[in-house]
Amino acid sequence: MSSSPPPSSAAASPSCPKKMIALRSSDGETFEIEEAAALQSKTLENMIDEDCAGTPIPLPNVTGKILAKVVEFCSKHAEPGVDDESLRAWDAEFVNVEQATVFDYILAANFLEIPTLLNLTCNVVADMIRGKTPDEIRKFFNIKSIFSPEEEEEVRRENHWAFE
Amino acid sequence: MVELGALPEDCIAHILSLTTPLDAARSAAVSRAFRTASDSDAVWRNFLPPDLDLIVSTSSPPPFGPSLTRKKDVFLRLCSDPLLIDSGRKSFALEKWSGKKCYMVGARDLSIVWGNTPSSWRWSSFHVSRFPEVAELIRVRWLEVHAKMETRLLSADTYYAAYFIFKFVHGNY
Repeated sequence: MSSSPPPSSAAASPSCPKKMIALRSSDGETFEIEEAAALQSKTLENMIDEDCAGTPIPLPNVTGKILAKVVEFCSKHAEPGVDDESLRAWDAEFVNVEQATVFDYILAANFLEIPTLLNLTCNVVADMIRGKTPDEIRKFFNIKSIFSPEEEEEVRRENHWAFE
Repeated sequence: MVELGALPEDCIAHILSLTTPLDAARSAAVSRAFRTASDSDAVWRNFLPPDLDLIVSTSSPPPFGPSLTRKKDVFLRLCSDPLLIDSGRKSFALEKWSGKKCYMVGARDLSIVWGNTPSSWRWSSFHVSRFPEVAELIRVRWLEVHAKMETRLLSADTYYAAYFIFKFVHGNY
């Protein structure tokens, strides 16, 4: 049986027990994540290199609810032997959530620097933006614009080719 | 609860870079945060071909003056002003809606059967053409023109169409 190597850089040697990293969310929940999964986050990779004591890494920007899902995502993506098609299907299910949750994932992926999660979640929003007019985008995402009429006129003029 | 408008600008820029040049430019009118994000280099760098520097290196004189520092401006320039590359034998531009690469192969880069026979074809410069030379058909019994393009120069995952561009001289046929 051959297994595909995990997408992250490090591969634990088979004889060593898997190192677990402890994370603490902004609301005090702790989670354990395998090192290989944690290394998908550049932020965690840097923190792991520095930390020796093994105390939970505090993540003040991520709530427990979201961190649980991020751990789930990274663990799945560090799993050996998952074929591309299954992973894609799993990813599609993972982001099949309400808009506000997708934004929470984006913030977490941005803060934790997880390129796979960031691309996945940003693509979901990009799909919602494509083809919409500015008004439709504002309505869809409940964005309040504080452009003055002059500013809006200036923007449309600067990008006139996109409005023709 | 986070809303899209409250995401940091670099996240909005990342999202926009995954749409199209048209969507990115249009979304500048959504809000101030969108405007800044949509103008940022992070977005337009993604729409420019990754091998742009290589392509542009065969163009002389260097096409982008110091005034074109924003990637967005580079993109828009390449959409409106085809660049002569490959010693003036081809021109290169970008398609505005998608950022895909467009090329035009000049007459000198074509294989024209009997092209070097002065009684059949005449080479001259023509002010309307972007290329230094055009080939003018005088008279042939055998009209055969070939053009060749390396696919590695094209944009990936794209359907291309090829067009033969010619002009009739008034009253000549």
